[in-house]
Amino acid sequence: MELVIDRLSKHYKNKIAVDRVSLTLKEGVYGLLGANGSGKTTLMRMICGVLKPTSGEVKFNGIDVSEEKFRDLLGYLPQDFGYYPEFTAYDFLLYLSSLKGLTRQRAKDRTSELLKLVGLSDVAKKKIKSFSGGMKQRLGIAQALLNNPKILVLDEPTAGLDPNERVRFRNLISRLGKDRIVLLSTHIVSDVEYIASTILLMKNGQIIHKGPLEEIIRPIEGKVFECLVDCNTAEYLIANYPIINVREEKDKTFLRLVAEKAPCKEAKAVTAVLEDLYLYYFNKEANKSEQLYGIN
Amino acid sequence: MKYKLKKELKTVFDAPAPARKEEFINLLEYPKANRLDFFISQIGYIRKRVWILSLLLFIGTLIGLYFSGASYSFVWVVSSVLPFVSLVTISEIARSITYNMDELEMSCKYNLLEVSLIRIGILGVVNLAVFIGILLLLSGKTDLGFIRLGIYLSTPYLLNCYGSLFVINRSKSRDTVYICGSVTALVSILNSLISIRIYDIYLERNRMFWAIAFIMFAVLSLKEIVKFIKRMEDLKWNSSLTA
Amino acid sequence: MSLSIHDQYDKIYKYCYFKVKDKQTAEDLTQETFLRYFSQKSYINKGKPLAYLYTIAKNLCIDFYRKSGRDERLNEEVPANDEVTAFETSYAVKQAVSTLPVELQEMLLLRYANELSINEIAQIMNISRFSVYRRLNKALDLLKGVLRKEDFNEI
Repeated sequence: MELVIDRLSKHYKNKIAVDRVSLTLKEGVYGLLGANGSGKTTLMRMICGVLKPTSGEVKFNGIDVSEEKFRDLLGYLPQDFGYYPEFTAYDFLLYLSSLKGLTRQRAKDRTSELLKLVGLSDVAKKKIKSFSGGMKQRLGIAQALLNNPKILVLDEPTAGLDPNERVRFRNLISRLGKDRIVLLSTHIVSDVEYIASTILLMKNGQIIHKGPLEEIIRPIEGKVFECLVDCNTAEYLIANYPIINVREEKDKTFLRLVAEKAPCKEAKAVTAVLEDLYLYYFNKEANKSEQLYGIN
Repeated sequence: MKYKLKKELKTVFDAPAPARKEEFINLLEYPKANRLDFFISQIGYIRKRVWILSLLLFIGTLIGLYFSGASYSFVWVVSSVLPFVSLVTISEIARSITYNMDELEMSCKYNLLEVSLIRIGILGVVNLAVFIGILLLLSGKTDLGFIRLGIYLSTPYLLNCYGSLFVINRSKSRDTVYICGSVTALVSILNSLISIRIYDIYLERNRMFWAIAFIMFAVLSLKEIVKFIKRMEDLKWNSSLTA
Repeated sequence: MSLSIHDQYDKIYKYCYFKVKDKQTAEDLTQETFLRYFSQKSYINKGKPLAYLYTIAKNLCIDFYRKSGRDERLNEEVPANDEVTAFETSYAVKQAVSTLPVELQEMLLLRYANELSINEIAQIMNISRFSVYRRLNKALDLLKGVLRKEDFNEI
């Protein structure tokens, strides 16, 4: 099972949204992390055949993205989706089942099964109009699974889910990742930290890092420090180091930052977490660090 | 005691857990629905209002014909109502976009393009059938030739098609329906303003005007429909460049 | 099929296991049942009743016996299996059940373990509803008799 993305690009008049991205994805869960505007959604849309690339190819086991066979193996949850106003959750899934080529009987069975999986069985016959954001999102996840897809692309799937639902979702994705390719994008780091076997960091239309968590963290491992300092030192540190977190305490300032070695005597080294890397890369004041560490 | 016995019987036949269940179920190939099944199911999803309106119009024409006969005014009335059929039809065709289902539908096996083509096909046939039906009903009952009658009846309809499609092709909001509704109302009003001097309008010497208008709106509508169909292939809006 | 395929799989498996008493074979037959069920074109839009699924399973089990030359009636022993949940009271009931003729045991399985309706059972066994009622009651009476004999009052 192989999803090959070859030099995929999307150019708009005054912006390059996705810049020659090449990836080969196999079974497992891939977390696509990036700030807004980094090109995540555009990339996902091209992988789903919903947006035509400016150049480049997407193939699954040799099947091109533009073919019907490809779509037959695909499950997609867009960042935002609507519904026909008169639809109940049940109607919605039945409708999409017919578009996904399920027979009527199979559609009914599958719909019941999935509604149960995402915890919407008791509101199956209620109109989607009456749903909360989290419920609608769960419905979206359900529809992506209707045709038991080999490729599952989820764009910000946990948006609107409460912490319980998030945990349930994470467990579901972990199970699903065992024998299919799951690509999910998020800017909630904790969603991905525990379930993605590979993390893809995206910035300015490019994948700047690809690898398992330990590998990705390495550039800043041992380089994250915390300290509690007076405001003069704080000012100095803020001006010279990439800051991950700032907090004003009574008369001192708490700082969490990235540095080659301890920037001041009060600084303590702490374990780097994905959140640090994320903020470090996507923090606008991280310019200086790009010189120090480079983008590799 | 009997009750408890039945409860026990539930577990008496329990067997050691099956080992290969998940794998089997995941790999199980279900029979797939073919294109014909899909086509038929899509017909079911076309809202009743389309059928009802078409039927009402047809019956209305019959009744009107019976009571008032086929005068020029009657022709004008029918031509003012047809745009509403166009409105309902085009709203139906554009439903996926209006209700933001387009992205989802594009990613399915039988995608948005197919859904749209089926809708256009079926509704086109229905519209045509209604139109021809009405035309046949009215022809021979006025002194207007078949062709002239056809042109007078269809031109406001085509104008509306063009106007509605124009709006739909250039916006994505929910309000598109209301905008098209306004276009339709406008067309109807326009039609009635022009037709204040009914007998002049349908005069022989204004034939050219009608013929040109007809061809113009027909061609423009066709262009817009083609544009619409192309748009169903993939997302062309870059309104959401974020992320 | 109003139940999910997961549940159906378990139930058919239970049924096959009852017939062949072997885990591997039971699962093979279960999978074969589903493959055949789904390969029928008529499944596509009507969804044949549950009974059809069981009929396929039943026939497959019969074929299996023919091929392996074993006598279907030779399954008197209750499997003393650690893997199967064994509450104390259940064991007595299990023993009791095993003393019943096989057709009646099958009835009990279909009705109480797999929760099929009288109609469905009638279709599967190819007998009338009345017969189904009669046999079920007979089975229950026999069971009660056996259990009382063993002085087992608290069920």
